Amino acid sequence: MGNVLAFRSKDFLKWADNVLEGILRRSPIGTGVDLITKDFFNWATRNSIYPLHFGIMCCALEMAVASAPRFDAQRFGVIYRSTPRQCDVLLVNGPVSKKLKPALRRLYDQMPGPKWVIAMGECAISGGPFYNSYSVVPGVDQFIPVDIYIPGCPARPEALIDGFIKLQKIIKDNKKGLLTGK
Amino acid sequence: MLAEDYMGVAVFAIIALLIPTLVFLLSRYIRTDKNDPRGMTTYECGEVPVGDARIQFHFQYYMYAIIFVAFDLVTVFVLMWALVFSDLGQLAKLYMLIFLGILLVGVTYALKKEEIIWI
Repeated sequence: MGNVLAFRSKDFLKWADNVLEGILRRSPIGTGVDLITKDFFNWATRNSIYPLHFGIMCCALEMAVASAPRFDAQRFGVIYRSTPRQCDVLLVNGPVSKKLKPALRRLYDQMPGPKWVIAMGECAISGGPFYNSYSVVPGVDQFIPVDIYIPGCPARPEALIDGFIKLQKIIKDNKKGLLTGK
Repeated sequence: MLAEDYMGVAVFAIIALLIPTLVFLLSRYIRTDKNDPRGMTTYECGEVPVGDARIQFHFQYYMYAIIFVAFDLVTVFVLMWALVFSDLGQLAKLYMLIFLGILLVGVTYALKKEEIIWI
């Protein structure tokens, strides 16, 4: 009975949060803040692409070479992070077996949005040479939405860097405000 | 006089308290409102999480912590003692040695009593 009648402090805090967020997200204030911050946030996002440090097969070696001194992907702000909480991009490089599928999906879910996925090499795109295999998923896009496909077997480091630059173009074209999502 | 001397410290302390609070509160309102319950789980390399992320320490860890705290305080005393070592009399040096001796006896007793230091 007391729970029904009383307006508890926890409820009050929740109400204050909801009111503040609602005012920010569904009013001209949020639109104005978005108008101010949209371009700057977008510039920051596309110049600090953090892929997940997750290697599956031989394309992972190409990924390593791409971040080594000769090709140096860090020029474009590509830094590999070791936990999905700090990542923007899931770089799938290799054939995804049916045992790996749920784990990969969980990793994708644990990344905070906005997030993008790059399928690197033939195996990640369509299964590649293992297309008819009993244990390989034919293509990552069967269970994860993919933004960029990089062909090649294995894809060369230049191709990977080209894919990152194309992803930067995609991010620039789909500008969205953080508060209102428009 | 006192206010003039410590005004800088006060301003610094207020700013140091203000900035984390402000950032912590602001970050809730400058972010996307997409909440995926599947993504809220504990990160265990993509596997299904087992148990809680918070581990409770053994109560036996208390003994180790107490010994550590004793030595932590001793460092401060010994440092001050070492700074003015050349100006001290014989008695002051003797007192410090007695103090360290008492401490050593206590630590030896604790280690003998414990047999195993639980960490």
